[in-house]
Amino acid sequence: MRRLLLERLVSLVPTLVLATLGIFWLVHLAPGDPAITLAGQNATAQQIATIRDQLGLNQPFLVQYWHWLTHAVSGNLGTSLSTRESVASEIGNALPATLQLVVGALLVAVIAGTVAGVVSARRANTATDAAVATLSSAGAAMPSFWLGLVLVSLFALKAHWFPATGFVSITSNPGQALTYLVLPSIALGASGAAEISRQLRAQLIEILASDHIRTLRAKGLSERRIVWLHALKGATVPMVTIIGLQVRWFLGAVVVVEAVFGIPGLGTLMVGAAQNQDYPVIEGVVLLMAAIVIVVNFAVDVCYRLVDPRIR
Amino acid sequence: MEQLSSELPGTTRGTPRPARRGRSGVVRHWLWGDLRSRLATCVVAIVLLMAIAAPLIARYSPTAQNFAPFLGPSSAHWLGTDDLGRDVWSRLVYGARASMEAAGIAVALALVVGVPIGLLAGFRGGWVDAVLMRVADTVLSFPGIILAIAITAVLGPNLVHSMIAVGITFTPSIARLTRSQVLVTKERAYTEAAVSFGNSPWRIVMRHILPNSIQPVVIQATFMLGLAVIAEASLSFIGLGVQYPAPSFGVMLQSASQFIAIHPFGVYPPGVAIALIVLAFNALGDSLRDVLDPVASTRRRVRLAARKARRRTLRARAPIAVGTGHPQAPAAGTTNGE
Repeated sequence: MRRLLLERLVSLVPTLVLATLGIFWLVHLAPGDPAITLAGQNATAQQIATIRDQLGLNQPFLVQYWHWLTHAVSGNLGTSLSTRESVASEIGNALPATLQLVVGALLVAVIAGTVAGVVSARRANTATDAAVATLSSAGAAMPSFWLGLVLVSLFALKAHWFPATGFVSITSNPGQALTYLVLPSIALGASGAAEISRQLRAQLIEILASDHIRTLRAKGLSERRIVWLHALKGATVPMVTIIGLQVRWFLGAVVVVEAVFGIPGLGTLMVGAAQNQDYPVIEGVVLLMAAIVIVVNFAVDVCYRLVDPRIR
Repeated sequence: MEQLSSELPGTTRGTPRPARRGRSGVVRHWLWGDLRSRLATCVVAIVLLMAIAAPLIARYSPTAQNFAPFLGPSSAHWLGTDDLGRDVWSRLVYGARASMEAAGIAVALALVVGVPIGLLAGFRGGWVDAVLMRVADTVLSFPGIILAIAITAVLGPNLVHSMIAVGITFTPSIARLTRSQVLVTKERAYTEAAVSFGNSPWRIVMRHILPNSIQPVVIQATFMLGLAVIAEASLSFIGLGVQYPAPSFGVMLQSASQFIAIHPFGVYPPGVAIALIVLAFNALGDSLRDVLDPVASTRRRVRLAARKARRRTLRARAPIAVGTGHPQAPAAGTTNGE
């Protein structure tokens, strides 16, 4: 088991190297000269040349990549071209907000998705099932940021139940942070809930028709116990996969949802950087996101083996 | 559309094969088989019409301003006016054009690049396959929008660039799907026969492997059209796609969101349009799957019907007639979007 995990961990290395190489190469292609940007408008050719030298821009591509990679590994992601602050500290400031939102969305997706999936599986092919199916195809078709706008207009501006935009850190004021988190989490998590409910329904219908469930029924267990305890357990492995995929999806969609709710997270940082062509920041955020996805995929892999020892 | 309706897949799974439909029959069942696909076809047809004939359908110029902002719907302005007094219906019509262009560019790019990569990886195997799939996995480890934003930032923000970026993020899925199909097709008897006749690899791939591998890819591409519409709206919303003041669903939502407190109606027309288009593409993807793979969907229906009957029996403790979904019944087009 341990050897297996180690092997999987080692096999992540080429993916990570390729990912970093890809990011670095992409930014390398970008038009414009970071030295000129950094030197400012009134710089002499001499000053620009000095900066080019300092940044190592005259060195071969792979040498530059190696420098960037070794710095990145030690946590030095360079300096933002627009704020002149270190990229690592900018990311550090933005990360908690994004994580808070992604965790909120995951909770929404898993809880709402599980409840909807179980209900529609138990009442397969009834009106309830059809209603859940309709809701979930609508949930999958609505862009999350638009759902966010609709939620803001209905529950913040009209009903005043929640604040419209803004962000409070959960460590500074948990209660207030939650009220700020409800609408964006729903907006971001809705499509995930739709996907989870759809997949869970299919899984549960199959499991509920299996022999061991029939045995449990024959033993006289209540239907509720059978579904929530025994059938759901059988659906864990596929659910873990789907939740893992959702994390990747959320990390992308969070960018636009943050823009709607004015949340100062990685998405806001990324969008600002893209508009200002602040490449070191772009590099840093993309790298971090890819690393998170790769780690989550690995965690999903580990979960499989913990949940189902038959999987090699 | 020709390639969509080419031969049905080799059905070697032991179930009786449904009656083979002609080319036009497949298309008819795909687009007009049941209520859901009919509605979807209508939505897509209307949107395409809006996109193609935008100048004829729009009643005003999409960027013409008047001095009456935030009007509600009226006979003069069907969907009201926006913050600068521009006619929302006209902007929606031109927005549909941007949206369809965007979806077309992104999905076409993903197919043109992804299918050959998948064919090459699956057919050649060995290190070529290993390298290509490792690259595909790497691209897939970036959240799609993030990668698209980075690529757009490098290329410069506009509709074409952002959709090239989205197309790049779609490519690895297409390549992987194509490859997995090729691996199956490669082992089929007809491919072996073609090899033993001494056909060139090019001919084998183009004549035998590609036509028999492409169907799931086309189905996937249909779903991707919907994803691309959402991607266009998202990227335009954050200012990296269609550039203000040109109309697009994303740009419209961006300006509507600024004035959501005074004119909340503004967020609905573009949002509902996006949702309808995505629903329509998803429905067409589902019905295409049902039509192209009728054996699988018939079997699924039989299985589900049998299970449902069994559960009822267990619950009611009374025997009940098993639903008779006969394998040879015309399957496609009658499934209700499972």
